[in-house]
Amino acid sequence: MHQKVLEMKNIEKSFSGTHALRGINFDLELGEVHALLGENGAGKSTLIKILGGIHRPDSGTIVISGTEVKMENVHAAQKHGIGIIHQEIVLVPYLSVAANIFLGREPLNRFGLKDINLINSRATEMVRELGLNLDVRKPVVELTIAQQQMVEIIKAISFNVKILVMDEPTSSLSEEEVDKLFEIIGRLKKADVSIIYISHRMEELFKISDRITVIRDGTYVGTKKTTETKHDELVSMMVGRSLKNFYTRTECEIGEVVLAVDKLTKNGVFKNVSFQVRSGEILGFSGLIGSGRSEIMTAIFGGIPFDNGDVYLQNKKVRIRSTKQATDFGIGMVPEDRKKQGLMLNNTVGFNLTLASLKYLAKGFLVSTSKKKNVIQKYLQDLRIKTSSADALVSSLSGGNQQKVVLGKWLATKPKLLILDEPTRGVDVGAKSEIYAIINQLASEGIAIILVSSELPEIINMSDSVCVVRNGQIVKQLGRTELTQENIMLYATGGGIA
Amino acid sequence: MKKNEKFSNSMAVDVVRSNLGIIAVLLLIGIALSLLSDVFLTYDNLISVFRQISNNMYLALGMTLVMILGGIDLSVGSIVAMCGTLTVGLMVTNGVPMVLAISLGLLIGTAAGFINGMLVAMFRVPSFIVTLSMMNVAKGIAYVYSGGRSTRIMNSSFNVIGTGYIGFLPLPILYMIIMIVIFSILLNYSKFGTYIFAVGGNRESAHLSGVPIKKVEIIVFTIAGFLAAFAGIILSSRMYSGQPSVGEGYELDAIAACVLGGVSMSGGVGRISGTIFGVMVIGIISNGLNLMNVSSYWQLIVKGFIIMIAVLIDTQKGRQNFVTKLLARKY
Amino acid sequence: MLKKVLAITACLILLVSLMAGCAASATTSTAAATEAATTTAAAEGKTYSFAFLPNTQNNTFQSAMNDTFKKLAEEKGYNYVCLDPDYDVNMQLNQMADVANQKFDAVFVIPVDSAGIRQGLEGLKAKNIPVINVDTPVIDADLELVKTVIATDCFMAGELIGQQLVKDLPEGGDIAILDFPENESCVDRVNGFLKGLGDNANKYKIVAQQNGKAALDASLPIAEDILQANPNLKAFFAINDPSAMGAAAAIKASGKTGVGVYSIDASPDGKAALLDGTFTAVAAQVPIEIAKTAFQKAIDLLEGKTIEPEIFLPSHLMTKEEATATAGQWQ
Repeated sequence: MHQKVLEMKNIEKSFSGTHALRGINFDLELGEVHALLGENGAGKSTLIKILGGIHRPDSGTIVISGTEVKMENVHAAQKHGIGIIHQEIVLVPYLSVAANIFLGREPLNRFGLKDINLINSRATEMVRELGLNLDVRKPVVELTIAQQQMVEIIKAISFNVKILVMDEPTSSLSEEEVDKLFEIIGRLKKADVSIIYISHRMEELFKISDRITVIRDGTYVGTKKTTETKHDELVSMMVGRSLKNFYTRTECEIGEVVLAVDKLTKNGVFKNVSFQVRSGEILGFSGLIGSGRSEIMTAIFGGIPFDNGDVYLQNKKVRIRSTKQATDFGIGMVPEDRKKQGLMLNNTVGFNLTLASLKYLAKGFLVSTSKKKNVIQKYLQDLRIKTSSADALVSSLSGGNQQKVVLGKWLATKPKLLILDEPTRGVDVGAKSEIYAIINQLASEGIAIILVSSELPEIINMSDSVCVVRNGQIVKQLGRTELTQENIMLYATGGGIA
Repeated sequence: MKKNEKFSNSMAVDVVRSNLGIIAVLLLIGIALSLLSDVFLTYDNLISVFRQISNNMYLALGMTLVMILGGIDLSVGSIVAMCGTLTVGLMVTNGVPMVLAISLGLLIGTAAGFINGMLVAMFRVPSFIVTLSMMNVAKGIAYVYSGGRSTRIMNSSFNVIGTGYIGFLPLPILYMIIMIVIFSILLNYSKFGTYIFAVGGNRESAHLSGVPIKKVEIIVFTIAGFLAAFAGIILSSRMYSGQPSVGEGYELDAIAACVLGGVSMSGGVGRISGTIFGVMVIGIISNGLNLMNVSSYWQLIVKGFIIMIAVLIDTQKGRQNFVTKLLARKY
Repeated sequence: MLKKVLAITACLILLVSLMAGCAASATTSTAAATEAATTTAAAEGKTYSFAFLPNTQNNTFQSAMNDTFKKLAEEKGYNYVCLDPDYDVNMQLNQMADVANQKFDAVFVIPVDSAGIRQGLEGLKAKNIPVINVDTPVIDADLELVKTVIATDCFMAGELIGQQLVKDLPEGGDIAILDFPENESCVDRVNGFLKGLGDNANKYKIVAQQNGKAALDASLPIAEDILQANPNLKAFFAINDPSAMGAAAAIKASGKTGVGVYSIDASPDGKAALLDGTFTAVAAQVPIEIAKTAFQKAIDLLEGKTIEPEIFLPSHLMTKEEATATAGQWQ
C-alpha cells in the first residue's frame, strides 16, 4: 500500500560475545516519521550505527527502496541517501556554518581552491529554505545549541537524504525551539523525506510520529500506530512491566527556611531574584533555555559572582564567594551538563562518588581508605548504581547511572540544600523513575531541594511550587494547585504579564 | 576590480582586528626600541631582523598547521640540525653534487615528518611522544653522521642560497614571503586548510563528514618536517657549515611564536597572520636587546616576561569575547 | 591495506634508526675495549696502563688529544683506554669509579664540570692512582686531588691576540667581544685579551660584549645585531673558533668589509678560515702538545720524579705557513 523506503530484517549484532541486537525488524514508509523507542542500552544506537554504515551487522538484511544493499562504510550510507543527526552535536566549533555544511565536499573554483562565495551563497539558500535566519559565516561556536542543531539538520539533508535519523534531537532544546524543529520536520515530510525519530520524551512522540517501534534489550518488542497506543502501554513495552507511580511524590513535612534569596541581581543576566526554600520542600524552577535559571543557580552556588542582593542560609546572611564555600555551607549542586560539569569521565565511579566529600573522609592529611570504601558502598547500594565495580570508569556507565553517581557525590557531602539542574536529561524511563524516587526520599529526609527542569511533566509532578523565570526575572511563583503545563508556558513565554 | 579592492581591504581589516592584542604588543615593543636605540628603525637593521626571523618563521608556519591540528611537533629543531649536517656533509665529505645533496636533505627531513605523521595518525600515539622520540633520533643521526664535528663548506653556489640577494632583498626573506603566501592560501582558501581546522576542532565530526583525517594528519606533519629540513639547509648555508649542535630549543621558539599569535594549544584555532606577528615579536625582542648590548642573562628574563605579558593580553581579550558572547546569548 | 603497510614500514624505519643509534654508541665502547687490547704489545721495560677521560669526544680538540695519546701508547706498547661521558657529569663519575677499580697506572681527566668531579677524584686517590688534569682545571679546592694541571695558557692566548689587534689597528676604534662567561678558561682569554691591548686600551672602545655561547648558531644573530648597532665597528674578538665563524658569517651577510675577526683555537676549521682570509688572526690552543706533555709527565711521575703542580703550555699566533703545514689538524 504505502511505499517502503527502508526495511531492516532480522538484524543481529554482537560485540565480543554479548548480543547487542537479536533479530530486530524495522521498516520505514515514504514521508513518515517512525519513532524508535527503548531504554538506554536497548540497542537503538547500535541499530542506527548499522544503518549509518559505522557497524556491520552479523546477519540480517537491509533493503532500501526494494533493493538489498550492504552498508560497507559511512560513505555507502550517504550514497544510499541516509543522513544521521547524532545525539551529541558533532560540528567543528571554530569553522563557519557554511564550512561545516560543506565539510568534506567543498566545491572548488578554477584555481583548485575552495569556492568560498559559492559555499556561502548555497549555504544561505539552504538556511532560507528551512525558514531560518542565520549568518552562515558565523563560527558554529557562537551559535546556540538549538541553532547548531538546525545546522546539523541542514548538513544532513544537503546530502539529498531520503532517510533522516534524528537521535534525541530535542534533548537540549527549549519548548519554543522544539516547536520550530517540529515545523521543520513537517516540511521535510512534505518533501518526502522519511524520518527515524529517537526520543525519550514520550509526549513528543505523540505529537510528531506516525508509528512507534519499541525495542528492549536488543530484541524487537513491537510496532504501534501512534494514534492507536497510549503512554502507559509504551512504557510497559519498554521496561517489560507496567510502571505504576512513575513520579514518586509523597507529602513531606515542610520545615524551617533553609535558603532565602533576596533581590539577587547580576547586571545583564538576572535581576531582583527573590525566593525561599524550606527543608523537605521541592521548589521547581522553570523557564525557557537562556532565561537565566541556570545562571541564578550557579550564582547561588558561588560559581559566578553577582552584583547585588543577599543570600540567607538558615536565617543567617552569608556571602558565598566560591563553590568551596558553598559546599562548606552544605549546598550541593548537580549541574546541567553531567559530562562536562558533573563528572570526571576518565576516572572511576569510586573516585567521582567521593570527590566532593573528601574532607569528611580525611584523617589529617591523608584520606582514610576504609571510610572511603564504606561511603562508596553505601551510595552504590542506596542509589542502586549499576556498575561492574567501584573501579569501573564512569564513562562506561549508562546515562542514568552516571547521573546517579553525580547525585551520590553530593549526597555524600550531607547537604542541607541540593540544587538539581536538569537531573533527568538524557536518562531513560526506568532510571528516571528511580531518580524521582530518590529525590522524593531526600525531601522526606528534610533536605531542601531546588529542581530546575525543562521537562514540564517532571516539574509539575515533583514540585511543591514552581518559580517561572523569564529574561532573568522570576515572573511568577505558582503554587501546587496552579501547576499546569499551560500556566507555566504562559508565564515562561511572557503571556501572563500585562 | 572594485570588488577585488573591497576584498583586500576587508582582509587587511580582518587581519588587524583578529590580531589586535599581538599587534599592540609589537607596536609597544617597536616604539620602546626605537626610542631606546637610534639604529633599530634603520633600513639595514630591519632587513637584518627579518633575515634573522626567517628561520623561526619557516618552523613556525609548520608548527601552526600542526598545532591547529591539535598536535605539537618537538622534533623540528633536531630536524634542522640533521638536515643541515647531512646536506653539507654529503657535499663536503661524500662529494655528492649540490642539487642532489639538497634534495636528499629535504627528502630526509620530509621523511622524518612523514614518520611522525604516520605514527600519530595510524596508531593514535600522542604527537608529543612521537615527536619527542623523533627529536632524539634526528639529533642522534646528526651526531652519528658527523661524529659530532662541524663541517665547513666554502662552496659559493651553496652559500648563495642562504646569504644571497635578489635586488635588495636577501634570499631568506624572499623564501619567507613566498612561504607566507603559500601557507595563507593553503590554510584559508584550500579544502585541505579547512580539513586541518576540522580535524583539530572536532576529529569525530570531521570523520563523520568524510574528511580523510589520517591523510590530513600525515600530510601536516610531513609539511612540518619539510619546512624544518628547509630551515636547516638555509641555516647551514648562512653559517657556512653543517653543525650538528644547532637547533637546540628552536621548536620552543616556534611554539612560543604560534601561541603568541593566538594558535590554541588544544587545536582548532589559529591564523597564519597571528603566527607572523608572533615570530616578529620574538625576533624583535632579541634584536633590540642585542642592539642595546643587554647581557644575554637579562635577555632571558626580559623575553620571558614579554611573552607572558603578550599571552596574558591575548587571553584577556579572549575572555572578554567570551563574556560578551555569554551575555549576547541571554537576550 | 596500503596504509597499514606504510605504517608498519614507518615503524620499522624508526626502530632501525633507533638501533643504528644504539649500535653506533656500542661500537665506540667496544672500539675502546679493542684499543686497550691491541695496544698491549710486549715491550722492554715496564708496561703502564693509562686512561683518558675527556668531557666529550664530539669535538676535534678532544679527539686530537685522544689520537695523540693513542699513538704514544702504541709506540711504547702501553695499555690505553678512552671513555667518553658526552658532557654528562654523572657518567664521568661512573667512568672514574670504573677506572679506579681497574688499577690503571695514571688517568688523564678533562672534567665535565670543574667543580663536580671531586667524588671521582677521591675514589682514584683511595686507590693511589695519580690523576693528571688536562685542558680545563678543576676548582682550586680540588687541586690537592690532582698531581698536576696541564693546559694551554689561555690568558697568554688572549694577550697575544690583543697585541695583534693593536698591531693591526694602531689608530684604535670600536671593537666587540663574543664571550662565554660560564667557562673559566674563556674568561681568562677575555682578560688576557684586555691586557694585551696594553697601554693603548683607551683607544679601543668595547661597544658590545655579549655571550656567544661558544657556538656558531648562537653567535651569528648576536654578531649581526652588534654590526647593526655599531656601524663603525672595526673588529670582533671571539673566545673560540665556532663563535668567531658566527661573527665572520654575520660580517659577510651584512656586506661590510674591513671588520676584523680575532679568535682563539686554531682548530682545523679555524686554520682554513685564516688561510682564506675569513679570520684576521687566531691564537693557538695546543691539544696535541698538552697530550704529549701529559703523557711524559705521567711516566716521570711513575718513575718517581717530582713534577710541577701547574704546567701552562704557551700559546702562539698561528701563522699562515704553520696553518698550511698543519692544515686539517690541531697542534
